[in-house]
Amino acid sequence: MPDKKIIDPKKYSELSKIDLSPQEMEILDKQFPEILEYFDLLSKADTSEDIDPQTLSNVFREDIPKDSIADEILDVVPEKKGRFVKGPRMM
Amino acid sequence: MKEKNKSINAYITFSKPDDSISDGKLSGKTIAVKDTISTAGLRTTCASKMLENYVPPYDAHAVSLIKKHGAIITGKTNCDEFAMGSSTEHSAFGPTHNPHDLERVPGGSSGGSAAAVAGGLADLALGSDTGGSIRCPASFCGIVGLKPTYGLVSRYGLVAYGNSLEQIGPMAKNVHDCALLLECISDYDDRDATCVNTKRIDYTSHLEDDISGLKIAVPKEFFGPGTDSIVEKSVWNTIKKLESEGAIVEEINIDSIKYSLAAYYIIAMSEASSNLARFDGLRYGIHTGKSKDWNELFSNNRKSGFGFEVKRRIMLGTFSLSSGYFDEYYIKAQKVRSLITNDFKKVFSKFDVIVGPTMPTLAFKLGEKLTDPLSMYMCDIDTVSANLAGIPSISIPCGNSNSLPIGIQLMSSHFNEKTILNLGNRVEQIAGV
Repeated sequence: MPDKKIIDPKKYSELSKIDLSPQEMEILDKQFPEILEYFDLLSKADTSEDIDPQTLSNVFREDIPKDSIADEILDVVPEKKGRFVKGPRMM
Repeated sequence: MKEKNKSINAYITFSKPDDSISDGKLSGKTIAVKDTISTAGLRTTCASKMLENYVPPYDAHAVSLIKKHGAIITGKTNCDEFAMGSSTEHSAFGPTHNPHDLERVPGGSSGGSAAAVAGGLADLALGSDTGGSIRCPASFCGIVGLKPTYGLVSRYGLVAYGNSLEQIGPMAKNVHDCALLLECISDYDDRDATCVNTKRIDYTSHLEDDISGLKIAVPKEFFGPGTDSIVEKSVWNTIKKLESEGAIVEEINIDSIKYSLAAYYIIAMSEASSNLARFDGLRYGIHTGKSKDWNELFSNNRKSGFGFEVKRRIMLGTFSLSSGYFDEYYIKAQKVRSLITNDFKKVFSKFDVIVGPTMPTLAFKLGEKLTDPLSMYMCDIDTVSANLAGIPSISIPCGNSNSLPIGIQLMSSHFNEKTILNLGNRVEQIAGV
């Protein structure tokens, strides 16, 4: 398991796209090592046998056109132009 | 109802009277719906400022079904924000109070649903359970709550938190009504790719009370450190009564249970970090205004919209999925999940039911665990295994201590809800709570 001290709230707030206040940052700085220390309990679990992380399979359905609620979905969009969702500039 | 709600704060939004109610199995029954479950034309906030004014354009499949069966939807119930919590204190609409003691929590995250039923504000309720969010409040509020097998009930319209773990499920005053609501909402739906097309059962007409020969396993790990002695005593008293009625009881060990809480939180938080990425304020939800930069706008919207617990979980989930930590945390947790699932399957090859306490303690005081997240997470120690393994689990009142309810938890193998409903029916009769 990695060194718990490298959990930097600032880095993960940026990756998560969530601004944090200095107070929130300070609290998380204290809480993260404690929570991760508990998570590190898993390092004691013996998973050396060939254990599949989870057996998953794709589920498909027939591609049949159905009634759409696109107009109703567009109704709740905060900012739009015609039938397009308006977002900030990417570059 | 609105007057009574003031002291409990079970509801976030009340429904308007509906004249177009159809006839069915739920005719005349009032049902409260957790505010993480979409209701067409009725505000669905997930107890978050992010969705404070969000009105879904469609019904969740479970909501369509209860309407079809003639239910009267009373409103949308309070919960921990995006179902992340065990006390219904992490809500942008204030905490819900336990009807048995207003200074205590109702449990969570479906605390508003449980408090509505326990406080006489609804006959039945829909909750959702990712790691115990139906069973915990059912236990703390003295009602019956069932988490179905993963795939029995469609998750279409349930706002996703930990989508590989969660199910919509019934909450009721008694086992019969819980079974009735389950049979109404367990219907195949191809809009949820994880919904299993299996035979649906008429649970109410199969309710029995003969438990002779039923094999019950009691894992010692469910009575670990932190279990209140009064809870342990009450649960064991009930187990002894079941034994005296002909059930075969054996104490067992499931060693992997000790890893369940850590594995659960890593998986749930990882899934949360992905599922909640959709809340950027562009298509719905809080919108903080114009910004030149998309990064700044998204980060501002999410800062303003999410509460602190949601931020904490998204960030820890992002960490678990990030480069350099993915194998050590996320993949390891998934392997441990398989280990736990396999261990439960082994137990069910010999036993019909696994029994233990739902919660290790009685309902705690409001604010008691709010600033200590790890201590709050520990509340889920006995409930998360069922979500990891995908098996059904029910909480039923089995006793009281100083007027605070105690719940017993019954688990069975996949799609074997009938067995725990039958045993639950007997528990209800012998416990007399």
